[in-house]
Amino acid sequence: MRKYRRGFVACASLFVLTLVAAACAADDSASDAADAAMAEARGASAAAAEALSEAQATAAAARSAQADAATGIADAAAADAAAQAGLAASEAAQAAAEAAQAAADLAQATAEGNVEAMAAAEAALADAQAAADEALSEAAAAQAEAAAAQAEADEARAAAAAAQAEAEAAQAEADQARAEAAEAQAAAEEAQAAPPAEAVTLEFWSWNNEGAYPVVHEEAEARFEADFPNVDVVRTYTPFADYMTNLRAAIAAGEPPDVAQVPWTGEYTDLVNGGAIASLAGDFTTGFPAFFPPIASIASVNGVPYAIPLDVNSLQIAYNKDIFAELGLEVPRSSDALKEVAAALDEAGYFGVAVGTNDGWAAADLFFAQLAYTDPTNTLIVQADAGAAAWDDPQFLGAAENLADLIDNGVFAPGANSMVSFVGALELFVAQQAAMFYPVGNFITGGIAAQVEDSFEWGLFPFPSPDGGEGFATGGVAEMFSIPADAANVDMGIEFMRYLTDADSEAVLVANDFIPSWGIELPADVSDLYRDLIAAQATVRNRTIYTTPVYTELINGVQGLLGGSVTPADVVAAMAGAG
Amino acid sequence: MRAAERRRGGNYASSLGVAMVAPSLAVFLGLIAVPVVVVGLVSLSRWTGFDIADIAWLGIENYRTIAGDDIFWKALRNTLLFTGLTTLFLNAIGFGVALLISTRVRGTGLLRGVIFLPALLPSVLVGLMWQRVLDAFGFVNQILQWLGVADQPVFFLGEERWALWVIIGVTVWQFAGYDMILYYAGLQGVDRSMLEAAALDGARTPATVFRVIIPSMWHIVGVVALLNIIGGLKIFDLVFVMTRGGPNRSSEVLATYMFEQGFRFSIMGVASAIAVVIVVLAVIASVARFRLARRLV
Repeated sequence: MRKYRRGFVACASLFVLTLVAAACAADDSASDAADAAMAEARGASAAAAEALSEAQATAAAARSAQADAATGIADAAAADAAAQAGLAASEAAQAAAEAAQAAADLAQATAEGNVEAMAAAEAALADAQAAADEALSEAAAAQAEAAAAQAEADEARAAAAAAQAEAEAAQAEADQARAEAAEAQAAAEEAQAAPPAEAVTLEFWSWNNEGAYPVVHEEAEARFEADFPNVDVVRTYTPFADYMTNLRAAIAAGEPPDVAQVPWTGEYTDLVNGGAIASLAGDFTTGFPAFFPPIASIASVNGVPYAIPLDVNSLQIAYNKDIFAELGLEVPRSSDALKEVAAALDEAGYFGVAVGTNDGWAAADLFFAQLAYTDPTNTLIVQADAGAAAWDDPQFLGAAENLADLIDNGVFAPGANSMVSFVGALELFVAQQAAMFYPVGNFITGGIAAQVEDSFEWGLFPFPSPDGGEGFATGGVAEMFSIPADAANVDMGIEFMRYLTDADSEAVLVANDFIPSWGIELPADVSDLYRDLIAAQATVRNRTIYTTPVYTELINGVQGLLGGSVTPADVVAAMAGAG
Repeated sequence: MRAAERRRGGNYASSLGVAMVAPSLAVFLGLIAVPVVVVGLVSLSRWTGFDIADIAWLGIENYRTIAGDDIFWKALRNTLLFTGLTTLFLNAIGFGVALLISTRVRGTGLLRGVIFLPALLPSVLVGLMWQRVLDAFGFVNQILQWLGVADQPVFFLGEERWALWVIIGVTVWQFAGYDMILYYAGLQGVDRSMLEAAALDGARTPATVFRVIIPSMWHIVGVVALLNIIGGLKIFDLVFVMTRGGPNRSSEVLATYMFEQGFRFSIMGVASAIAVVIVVLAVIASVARFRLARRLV
């Protein structure tokens, strides 16, 4: 043992040394970056200090100029006063001379009979005259002096005005210098707080790596990275089954992605209410297109936007045009017409509407298709989500009853609960065993087209209304994105979402049959199918319940209706119980 | 001198022991003991699972909630039914097949491999596979129609009364081979001389099985059954993949309901309370096994 000890010690020392060296190296590179940022900040800070001292000097000069000007003004006023005083003195002297003249006159008059008195009067007169003359000349001198003072005062006043103007200019200059200094200071502080020049990794999470969505993301990424060379956008796609679990874990760990796709379900509102998502209140209307108001409201929680909706979808019934033509069937425009079509199809050996509710969501959409007509205001779900309407409202009950009526009349292909929507149910349609398939949105049209190929023609129509009135598609947000509250690069994330929704991105969306969540000019060369989708979008009815337990009970309830184990009243009662 | 040495030796051994146990002890504490305690605490609180600062003490309110929740009771009933039936069938089939292959008759080696194979597959794959096999146009329905047994397809997973039974069947299909291997290993430990003695006494095969083999394998039966029971109580993947607890909750089990409460509704308190129920059931099963084992052996 002992003979190995030295070897052990050497190995351990080597290991520890390696660790220490690695730590130092890591530390060095980190501290290099920090040093660079610090130096930059220090430079900016010094520039700010210089600008500040310059501004202070200018301000001092201005202040002394101001003081000079004030003195000038005072001088002018004094000179003015002196001039006035001089004027008054000259007047006084003149008056005194006049008085002396009068006195002399008076003395002459009284002394007419008395030669001695006359002589005395003459002497007095001469005296008075002399005094008056003296006073006069004195006054004239004062007047001249006053005039000179006046001139001097005018000159002083002009100088004061000039000084004042100069002072104001100096003050303005000082203000500007001070503002510049403040700016420089702020910049210096910012530089000190966050050195932004270093490379930034922008984490982008989504579950949609199927179809053309990654094309849209990738194109925005390429343009974004071209404009922000220091940013590296890293896109991570996770299957939806794991996505929310991963996102919650990342949020809980305080290391969420910078941009995260969020679902249009209660899981989204739960995140928002849990404080995990940053508010976009200030940004939603800045640099983003004007989103359709109903879509903006889906992206908002209690009126505050927390997500940017990228695109929308509408759900309609796909139908086999060849089978319809073969049997002479028209596109049904009412529930009764739909039942008749289903009966005719049944007679000819086809199923009616294929629908797969094993995976849940399509069950809720069967209900929403009916609610589109029992709730003409298209506001009931939003109200009920907000607690302002009851989940067993007669309009909800009416939708469940209408659906139950369609089920009882064999409108749907049997075994809905056993089939996954886009697997078993879609296969029925593709294999031409069912002549219709629901729900179909733009997100699956490509998949259907690929499976159908040229075997038959197909088109879309909205789920018909019970009474034959105008048909409405249901729909909602497809992809929307949020910024987690703890994201490392909030502003960069928002900027990236601007690239996702800009005009270039819009062109990519349209080219891939996606429907942007804002109004667009339709290019001339789009397909009929896309035109149908866009047309349906204008009147789409809500299919988003944010109260997850209610949504879950709705799915269970419709499964129960399809299986014949519950009544429409049971369905809405369970929804109300969960709400 | 000697005593001191011995004592030093003893200390050395115990500190070495502690040092060697420490890693697994740390793993046990960090990954099992602490989380179990945390789940117990969360089950007594209100929490959405995001910000730990938002957690609020509730007391036993969550347990009151599940006690008054019909879906919980349905999930509990389904879980117990699932656990009981899968344990029964798995043990019966596993033991039976183990007996068969222990005869070493020609072809039993192949049988052993074929029956054990599904146990090696991930449950999600098994679920997806059976979903396709059992769907309206799947293999089973094609066979049924070819045989003329059914003119309409049978919607195995779409019928509320069948869904849970189908999942029980698939579970037995998947894990029977696992039980078989355990029993096969146990059979190797049965004393040959006892079998020979039974044969000399003229015991027939059933008597040999029930009076000699099974009594000498009680401890194996106990372990296998306990493993099956615990596996049954926490069944999640097959149910989630094949029916998601549907249609209309007809195949809802405790684990899928726990998942829904915790990860879809963000009600971690209720989800943890359900988790505690699962743990308590597992502990009861395990204590019962030890009691039984002590009485039987």
